[in-house]
Amino acid sequence: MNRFRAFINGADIRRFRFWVQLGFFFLLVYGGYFMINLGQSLPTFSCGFNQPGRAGVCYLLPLQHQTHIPWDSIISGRGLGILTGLLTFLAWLFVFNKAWCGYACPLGTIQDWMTSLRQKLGIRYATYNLDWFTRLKKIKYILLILLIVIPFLMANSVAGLPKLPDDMGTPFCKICPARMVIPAMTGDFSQWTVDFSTGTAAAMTGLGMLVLGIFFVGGFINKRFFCFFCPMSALHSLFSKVALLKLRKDGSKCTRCGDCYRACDMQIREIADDVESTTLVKDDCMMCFKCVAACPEEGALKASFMNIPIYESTEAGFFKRMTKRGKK
Amino acid sequence: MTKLRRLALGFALLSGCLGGAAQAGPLWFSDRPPSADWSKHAHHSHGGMVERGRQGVSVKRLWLRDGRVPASAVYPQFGDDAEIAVLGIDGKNLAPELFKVNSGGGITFPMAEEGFYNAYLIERRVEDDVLKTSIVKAEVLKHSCSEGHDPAFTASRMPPRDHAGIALDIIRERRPGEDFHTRMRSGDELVFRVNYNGSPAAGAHVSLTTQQGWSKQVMADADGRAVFGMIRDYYPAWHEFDKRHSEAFLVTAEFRADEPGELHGTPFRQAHYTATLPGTFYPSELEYSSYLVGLLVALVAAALAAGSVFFYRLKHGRPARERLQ
Ligand code: SF4
Ligand code: SF4
Ligand code: SF4
Repeated sequence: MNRFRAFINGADIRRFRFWVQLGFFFLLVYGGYFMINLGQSLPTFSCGFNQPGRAGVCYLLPLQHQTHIPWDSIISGRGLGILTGLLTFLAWLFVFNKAWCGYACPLGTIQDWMTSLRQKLGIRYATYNLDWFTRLKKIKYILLILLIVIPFLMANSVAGLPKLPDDMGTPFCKICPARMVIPAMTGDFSQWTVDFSTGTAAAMTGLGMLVLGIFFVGGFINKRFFCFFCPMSALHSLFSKVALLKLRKDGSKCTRCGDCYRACDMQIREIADDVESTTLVKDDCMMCFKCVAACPEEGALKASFMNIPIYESTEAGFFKRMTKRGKK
Repeated sequence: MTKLRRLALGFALLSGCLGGAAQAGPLWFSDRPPSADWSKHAHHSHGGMVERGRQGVSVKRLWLRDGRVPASAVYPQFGDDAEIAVLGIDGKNLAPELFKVNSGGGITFPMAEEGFYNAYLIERRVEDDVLKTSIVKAEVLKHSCSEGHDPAFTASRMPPRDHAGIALDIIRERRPGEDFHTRMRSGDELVFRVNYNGSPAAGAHVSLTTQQGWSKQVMADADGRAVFGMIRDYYPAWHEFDKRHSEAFLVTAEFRADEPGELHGTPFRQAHYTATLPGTFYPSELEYSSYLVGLLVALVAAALAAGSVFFYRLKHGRPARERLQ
C-alpha cells in the first residue's frame, strides 16, 4: 500500500493531466458521434453548439434558455425545469468539483495546448499584476449575473421598461469563444459569422468574433487566459466548498517557498501565502494539482476525495519529478 | 383499392366531408391559425405552432386549407364523410378531435411524446367514371428542449415512416444530419418520396408551391423521388428583414391508375389520387450572416491584442523566467 502511495505521489502530474485531458477532449467533443449523451447540465464547456459531436451540453446553455421565463411561470413545470437542471449540475460538481476545469473542459484543454505551443516556440508568457488581477477577476461574476438576468429581462418588462430584444438570447454564448472554437474541432465553422439580421444580433455576434480574436492571442500569451473570465468558473465557485474533491493544505508544514504559486497557471497567490486555511479551492482554481506536484514539503498540499488523500506532496515525489525534468 | 379500404376500416371514422363552397383545391393541412384571435391560443415551438393541453401536453391544431398557393388558400369547413387519422410515434391512431368554427375547421390531437406525427384526411368521390381521392397529409414534429437532446433517442425518432394502407403517400426524406432543431431554408435541396400503395409512384406529377405562389413541377423518378431546390421567396425592405420569418410551402403529388372498381355502389374505370404535404421554410443564413466580416473582426481584434502585448513588452522589461511544472 505504501509503495502504491509512493508511486502515485511520485506521478508526473503533467503527463497524467495531458492524457486525461485528451481523453475528455475526445469524449466531450466527439462522443456524440458515438451516441454518448451525458445530459444537459454538464459543469464544463461541452459546447451545445457542437452538434452532433457533443457528448452532453454545457449547463450555461440550458440555463440561459431556462431563465428566459415570465414571472408567472416560475411556479410551474418550467420553474421545476430550472431546479432539476441546477440539481443535476450540482450533482456533477459535487463529485469532481473544479477538476472539471483542470481535467475535462475542452476549452481549458485547448488553452493548455496553446500554452504548450508557446513554450515550444520559446515565447515569454504574460501575467497580471496584483491590482489588475483583483480587478479583472470580478468580470466572471458580472458575466454570470448578466447571463441570468438578460434572458429574464427578455421575458419580463421590469419597471415599465420594454423587454430586451430576442436577439439578446443566450447572451453569454454569443460572446463565448467555445461557440466558435469547439464546433470548429469537428470542421463546423458555421458559428464564425456576424449576423446582420438586426442591430442587436450584429452587435452580439460581432462582439463574439472580437472575443474570439482576443482569445487566440490572450490564450497564447497568458496561461488559461479565458478561464479567468469564465462565468462557469464563477458558478462552480459558489458551490465548490461542499464538493467531495478537495485541495487541502497543512499550513504547519508549509515553508512559503512559493514553488506552488510559481507552478499555478491561475496565479493563485493564496496557495503559497495562506497557511491558515485547510481547504484552498479559490474561485479561479481549476484543481489541476500542479501545485501539489511542485511542493517539496511532505504532506503540505494534498488532493483528497471524501477526506481520503489521493495525491499529496512528498519530498521523494518532488525529487523524482525534478530529476526526470532535469534529464530532459 | 383494397388497401385503401383496409385503411378506412382501421381509421377512426369521424364525421366530416368537405362540404360548403366550391373547392379550388387541393386541400391541405396547416398549423397557421386563420385569425389573430386564434393565434393567441397557440405559441411557437420546434415543429410549429402548438397549444397547451391538459396537464401541459402539447396539442396540435391543424386547419384545413383549400388552394394551391399558401398565402391565399382559404380555410374551408368540414362536411361529412372524410376519413381522418393521426398516426402517433408508434404508428397507432390517436383518434383526433374534429373542430368546426366560423373561420374554418380542422383537427386537434395531443402530442405527448417527442417525434413526428402523421395526420391524414382522406376524401373520395366518383366523378365521370373516375374515383377521385384526396389524401391530405401533415407530418408534424413535437420537440421541447426541456425533454433533452439524447442523440440516440433523436436518431431513433428521425426516420420518416411509410404507412401501409395510404394509397398515395408523400414522404419527406430527412436532410443530412437532421435533428429536431433543423430548419429547412432557402437554398436547401428537399427530397420527397411518393409511394403508391407502398411502392414508388414512378411518374407521379409532383409540384412544390411556395407561400407567394412560385411553383415547380417534376416527375417522380423510378424510386418515386422528387427533388426541389428551395428558392428565396422573401424580399422585405432591409430594415424589416426577420431571420425567423417562416413561409409555408405545399407539395402536391398526382397519380393516375387504371384500376376499375366501385365506391358505395358507384362504378369507376380509373382512379386519380391527389396527395398534399405542407412544410415550412426560413431564409438562408447566408442572407444575413457574413463569414468575411466575422473573420475580419476576429483578425483585427487579434492583431490589436498581439500589437498591444508586443509594445507593452518593448516598454517594460522581461517577466520572470517560466518554470515548467
Ligand atoms: S457557447 Fe459557451 S456557454 Fe454556450 S454552450 Fe457553448 S460552451 Fe457553453
Ligand atoms: S474556467 Fe476554463 S476550464 Fe473551466 S469551464 Fe471555463 S473555460 Fe472551461
Ligand atoms: S491552486 Fe493548485 S490546483 Fe488550483 S489552479 Fe493553482 S496549481 Fe492548480
